[in-house]
Amino acid sequence: MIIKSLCTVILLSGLLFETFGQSGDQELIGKTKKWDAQIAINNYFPSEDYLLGLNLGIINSNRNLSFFTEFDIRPFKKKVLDRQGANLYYQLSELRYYLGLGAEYSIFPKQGNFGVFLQPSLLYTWGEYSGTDIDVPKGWLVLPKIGAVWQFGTNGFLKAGVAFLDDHTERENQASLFIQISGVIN
Amino acid sequence: MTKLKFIVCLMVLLAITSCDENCDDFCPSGPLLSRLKINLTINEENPEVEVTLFRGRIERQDTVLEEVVSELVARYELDADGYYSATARYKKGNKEILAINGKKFSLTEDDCGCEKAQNYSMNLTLKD
Repeated sequence: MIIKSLCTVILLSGLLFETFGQSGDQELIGKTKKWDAQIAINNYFPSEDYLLGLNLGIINSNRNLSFFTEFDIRPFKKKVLDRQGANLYYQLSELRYYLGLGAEYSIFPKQGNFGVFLQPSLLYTWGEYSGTDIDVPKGWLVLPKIGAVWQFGTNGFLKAGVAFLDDHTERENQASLFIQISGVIN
Repeated sequence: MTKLKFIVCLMVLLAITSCDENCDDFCPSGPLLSRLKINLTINEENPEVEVTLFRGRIERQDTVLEEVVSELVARYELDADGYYSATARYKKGNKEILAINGKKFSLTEDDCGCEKAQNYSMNLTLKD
């Protein structure tokens, strides 16, 4: 099982490396290619509300505008309290998922690889409580993200910023640290 | 380069799966049991905790066992297939808190293709 996993990782990393590595050598002859596919991995902190996600979408040739679908999950169960009576509370273990659409606009200075980005998403959130049939609060939410972006190579981006997550669950702070790594697939 | 990696991985996988495992002709008979470890909070306010185990979700009320536990970890052996849920009853100030969690138990296969039970853990500790 471990060997299989290692092989998969080696193969995937090989494919990714070749995909990103060759992009700088590609030349477009004859016609201009306006949009490319983009893949991104999302991380939201703090740890008790950690979310891991994947974006798939398209990005323009200037690399400053993109549209994507977003899917995030909280891989660890979170303990939430649900009031059942005057003094009785259920402590529930919540799993949560998010699926939706988003867009991103980035501004880069004329020279340099650092810029800023604004990335709003419209997501639907749902989930489940382990061990019980009690319904989990679910519904739509707007998830704005803003921060700094570093472009590495021609097609890689590392972003760090703040996300404001009001997601129908028990949460001490709606502001989350947002870290995303993304790459263009030519 | 990718093709080479793929071929190397394929060869490694073939070498592993083709090993002679010295398997018997028959799989061991008898019930398969999974070990379940439940983590609890034991403190001044809760020196002992009432733990209840259910087959299925708690709403089914299919109680497997109920006991008072005074240790941080409780261990049980259960049939290795099916969904189990558990509750732990705590006091916190003037509140009564019923911690609930659940897990799907499933069988896996060993190297000889025989069904094998897995071990699980469940977190019923009190939220900070």
